[in-house]
Amino acid sequence: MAFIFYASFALFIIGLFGSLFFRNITSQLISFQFIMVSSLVNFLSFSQILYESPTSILVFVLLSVFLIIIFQFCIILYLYSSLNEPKLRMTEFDYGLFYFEIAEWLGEK
Amino acid sequence: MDITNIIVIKNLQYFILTAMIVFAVFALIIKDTRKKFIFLTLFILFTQIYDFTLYYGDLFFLFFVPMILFLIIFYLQNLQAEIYIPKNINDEEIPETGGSQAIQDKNIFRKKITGKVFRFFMPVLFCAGFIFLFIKFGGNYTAKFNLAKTITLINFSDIAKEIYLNYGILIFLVILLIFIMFLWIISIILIRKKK
Repeated sequence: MAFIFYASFALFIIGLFGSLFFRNITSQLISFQFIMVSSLVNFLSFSQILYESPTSILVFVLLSVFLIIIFQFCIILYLYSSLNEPKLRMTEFDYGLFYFEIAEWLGEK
Repeated sequence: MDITNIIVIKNLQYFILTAMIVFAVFALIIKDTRKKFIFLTLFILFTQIYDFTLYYGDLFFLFFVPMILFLIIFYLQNLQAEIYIPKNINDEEIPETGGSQAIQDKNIFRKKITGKVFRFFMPVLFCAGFIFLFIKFGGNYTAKFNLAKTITLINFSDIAKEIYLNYGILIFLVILLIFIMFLWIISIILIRKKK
């Protein structure tokens, strides 16, 4: 049980670091995938090992995973639809989702 | 149905979780898109195998199908982006200002380096804070658990019955969906306005 707990936490930290560090939208989406999978692993293993897997938790996890995947589909479809537009750097956020530039913090931009 | 041979499955779980972490790191670090997606696919495959070792028979397929569909769309989008987006665009053109250009170049170079260092260390500090909190408050968390003695297998019919009977989950998720779509539409409108 402890190993599952630590492994899912390691996955969560990898996802968190990736989503904060990388500027590329592909890497950011992949890291969000890692965060989602870590929560999935925690939910499923805890429900199975501790509570003999009540069905309500499973249904909740299943539907929420569908929800997250639909949201990610939305992001990708949006990027896909704006590919042929004249501004070609649309598919990359210029500074990532979060601002860690020193110029941002000093108020130069 | 009782399952007695738990030690083998536990060892399998150790192996699968380690493989998941290794593939996750590879999928993030590698720059080549195709190799990245190969490792991501392997990562998702191992995730589903992990679900399988937790005795979720039907959930194996229910989780796997949308994830693979998502991966395919994601991969196709990346391929399209590789084809359509030209690389090495220099959109930051430095204006020429005569003799002071060397000093300006030096300043820009220094700023770039400090920016990169800052951009690397801020997430590291953030993650280190998380790890510190986890170790301090969650170190003995698993010692208190009482593990369940019997393992139950859930069929698809149980899940369908739960969806029909328990409306609370569905209502909560529909509200969540509406909230997310609201946020998403607002962000799209803002981006379009900026353009």
